[in-house]
Order: sequence, then structure tokens, then C-alpha cells
Amino acid sequence: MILDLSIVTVKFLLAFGGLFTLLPLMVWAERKGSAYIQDRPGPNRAAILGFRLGGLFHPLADVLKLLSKESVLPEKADRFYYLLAPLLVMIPAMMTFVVIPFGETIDLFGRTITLQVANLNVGFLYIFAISSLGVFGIMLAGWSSGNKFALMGSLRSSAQMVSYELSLGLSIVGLVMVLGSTDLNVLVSGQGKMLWGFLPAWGIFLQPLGFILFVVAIFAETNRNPFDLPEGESEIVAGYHLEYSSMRFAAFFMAEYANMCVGAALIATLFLGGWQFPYLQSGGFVFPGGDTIALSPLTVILIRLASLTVKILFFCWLFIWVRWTLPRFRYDRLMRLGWKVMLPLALANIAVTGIYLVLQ
Amino acid sequence: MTWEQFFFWLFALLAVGTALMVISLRNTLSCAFSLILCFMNLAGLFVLLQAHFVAAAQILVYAGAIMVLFIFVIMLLNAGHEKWGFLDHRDSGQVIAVMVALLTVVGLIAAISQFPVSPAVASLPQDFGQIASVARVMFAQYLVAFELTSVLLLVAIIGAVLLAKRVI
Repeated sequence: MILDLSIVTVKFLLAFGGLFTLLPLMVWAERKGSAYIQDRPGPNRAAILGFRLGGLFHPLADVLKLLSKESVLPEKADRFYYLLAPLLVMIPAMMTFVVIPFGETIDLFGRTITLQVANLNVGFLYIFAISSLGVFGIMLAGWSSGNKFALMGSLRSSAQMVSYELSLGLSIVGLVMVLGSTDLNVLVSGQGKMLWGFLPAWGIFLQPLGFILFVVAIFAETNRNPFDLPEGESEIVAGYHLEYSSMRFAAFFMAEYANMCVGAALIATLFLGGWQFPYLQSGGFVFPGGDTIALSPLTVILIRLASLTVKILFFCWLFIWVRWTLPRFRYDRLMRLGWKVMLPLALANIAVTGIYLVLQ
Repeated sequence: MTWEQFFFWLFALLAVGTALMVISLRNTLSCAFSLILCFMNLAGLFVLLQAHFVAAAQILVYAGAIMVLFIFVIMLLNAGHEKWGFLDHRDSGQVIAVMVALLTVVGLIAAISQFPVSPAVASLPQDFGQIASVARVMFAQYLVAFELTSVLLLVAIIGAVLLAKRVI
């Protein structure tokens, strides 16, 4: 009992430690990356004992700044919901992370441990259920601020999230049909097989269209550019978090980055094989030609963890890359894309996959 | 009291309490959020009944999608800025409401008593409540009923569009 509990606790701390390490790094990457994309040096002033480390201390300075700022409660705000909203945004963003598998099983203390905080047999439905709750925080934030721009941001956000949630869900159905399970563990281990003997059977090769639709829908769900209309600085100032200051603003900021990390982890898990590394079986490397390299179980686990981390970091970077490269959508275009392009394509993808599976 | 019983009473009491808040609070938005909490507690009850798929669908469809639309409408009408507190129900409508509620309760008891009540948890199949087994029932055993229901929903949507939109 105590052993079980401590195993869960360790896994929990590992997963959330990883997440919370990633958040300040992403803020740094966003600021530095945007600077390099715009051909300027970016943040490089914050220093500890003269060390600047390429601006890595800036997230720390940001936190100090936000902590020491005055937290304003607007006069027209609905006090209860105004204070509740940042929490409602943060919690779902964190809750999705628990079902991401970060390795196969390991044997410790005479028992087999799944490297996943919570193993749920409804798998990806849990992810959608929780992420569909994230929008309430955003809606409440805009509504309770007592500000017209903030309310506009909320309305945009809710319409956008409902529209793209459909494509998000449907884009995975094809993958679930091919791999035959909704359990994230089975989905990942199913991607360890080979196509035609040499190509890893990752979701991106099994379902290329599903992959594209999923990535686009994740961008819309995380309110990132080119779908960041709920914030739309040039039209509605800052959208739903316009009236928030100090740490309450930081909560929205952190939730956005947490959502990006979780989104990146989902893309990596569902479409890039999760912790799979090409040609790496649990005993070591097995190459298509028949060559093998034997590795110890610990090395395999570490390589797989590194593989998942690299994939997540790449997609985290993709979020930043796209934000500083593409312009924002117009609102009607956004809706048209969601309902008239993404949804039919996702349905067609399911139909084609179904026909293929029946004929096979 | 086992943990299961503890959680049953927790979810059940919270579900009833939040349901009462839905009909008695003055602030419209608070009513909507009470309804969301009520749905979540129902999802908790479904999990206790091993019906994981139904629980996930409950949150995904009701708490997630449908309530977003509810709140969307509340915000769009800019309602919900009423004062905090409870509604003062003292009109003739209340009598009718209580009678309808009682009638529903009687109907439900009559319907449920048709089924034998037994501690059937031990005899449940291995994959009970999971996606595969629910899908087998829905898409094989009751396929016609399922498709008819979806056609019904489609008709309702088309009707709503026709009524709301003058020019199509």
C-alpha cells in the first residue's frame, strides 16, 4: 500500500517536475526565439553574479516582477468569478498531463511499474473531457472582468474552442481505428511496429491527414497564433485576460504554456510514437538489415525518455516558430476553416480509413 | 464504510445539492456553473459504477460542449449580473413544478422497479463500461435505434436552422 502510494507520488513528481521545468524554459525560448526571428538580440540583461547565460535568468526576473506588482480588482468585476477564473484555467491544463506515458514498464522492487501517472482505459476521451473544461476559465475571466473587450475575447474563445474540439476529436478517430485501441499505452506500443520492414509505424505515417488536422486543431485549442483571436491585441487589446494583473495574469500566462506543453506531448504521443525510438526494441536496437545491438534495460528506458523529450521540445518550439511567422486569421475565416474545411476532411479521413480497414 | 460507499455518498450528496442550486440561485451564471458541477458529480457516480465511457462522455458532451453553449448564450445576452443569493419562489408555478417532479419520481420508481436489484458488481464482464463493449452494444445490438436517434437529432438541427434563418 505504502509502496504503491510512493510509486504514484514519485511518478507524479517526475511528470510535474518535468512540466514545471519546461514552462520557464518555454518563456525564455519564446522571447529569445521571437528575437532571433525578428533579427534582434532579445533579452540579455538579467544576470546573476555577472553571468547572463543568454537571457536564461529573464523568466526568474519576470516572476519577481509579477509577484511584486499590485493585483488590481476592477470595480465592475464580479469578485467571486474574477478570482476563480485563473484557477479554472490552470487546473485542466495540468490535469491532462497525467495520462501521457513516458516509457514502457520497468521492473523495480519485484513489481512491474507502468511509466505513466494514471492509466485509464478510456484514454484519450479523458484528455478531451478535461481539455473541454479549460474553456470555462477563459469564458469566466472575460465575463467577470466587466469589460467589453474582455467579453469579446471570451465569446470568441468559446466559439472557437467548440468548433475546433470537433475536428480535434475526429482527427484521432482514424488513428484509433488503425491501432485498435483508445488506451494511450496500447497506442504508443502499437506504433513500435514497422511498415514494410523499415518505416516506423508512427501515427504520422499511418494517418498523415489526421496528423495535420490534429496539429491545426491543437493550435486552435491552445489559443496560439494563427488562432489567437481571443487575445487579438490589435483588435480587442488583450481579450479575456485584459483586466488581470500580477500573479493572476501570470496564471493565464502559465496555463497557456502548460497547454502548449501538453499539446506537444499529445502530438508526440499519438502521432510520433511517444517514447518509441526508431528500431529500438526493449532488448536493444534491431535494424532492418538484421543487425542488432544489445542494450541494458536502463539504457533503453533513458533513450526512450530522451526520445519523448526531444519530440515534445520540437513541438513546443513549433508553437513558437509558427507564432512569430504567420499572421492572425480573420474571425470569419477561422470559423470557415473549422467547420467547412477541417470537419469534412476529418470525416472523410475516418470514412477512407474505415473502407481501407474493411477491404484489407 | 468502504471507500466506495464514501465516494458514492460524496458524489450523490453533491449532485443533489448542486442540482438544487441550479433551480434556486438568483445569479444565472451561478446556476449554469452549478449544473456543470452537477454533471461532474454524476460522472463520478458513473465511474463508481464501472461505466468509464459514460463518465467520460458525460463530461465531454454535457459539462464540456453543451454547457459552453449555455454560458455562451448567458454571456451574449449579458445576463447573469444579478445579485448573489437565492430566488424567492412563491408563485403558483411552484405548485405545478412540484407536482410534475413528483409525477416523474413515481414514473422513475415504477420503471426502475421492473429490474431486479442485485449486487451484480462481482458478475460484471471484464470489459464492462469500456469503449469496445459499449460500442458493441451500440453499433451491433441496437444499431437501428441508435441510427434513428441520430436522424432525430439531425431533423432537430435542420428545423432549428430553418426557424432561425430567414434566407438560406
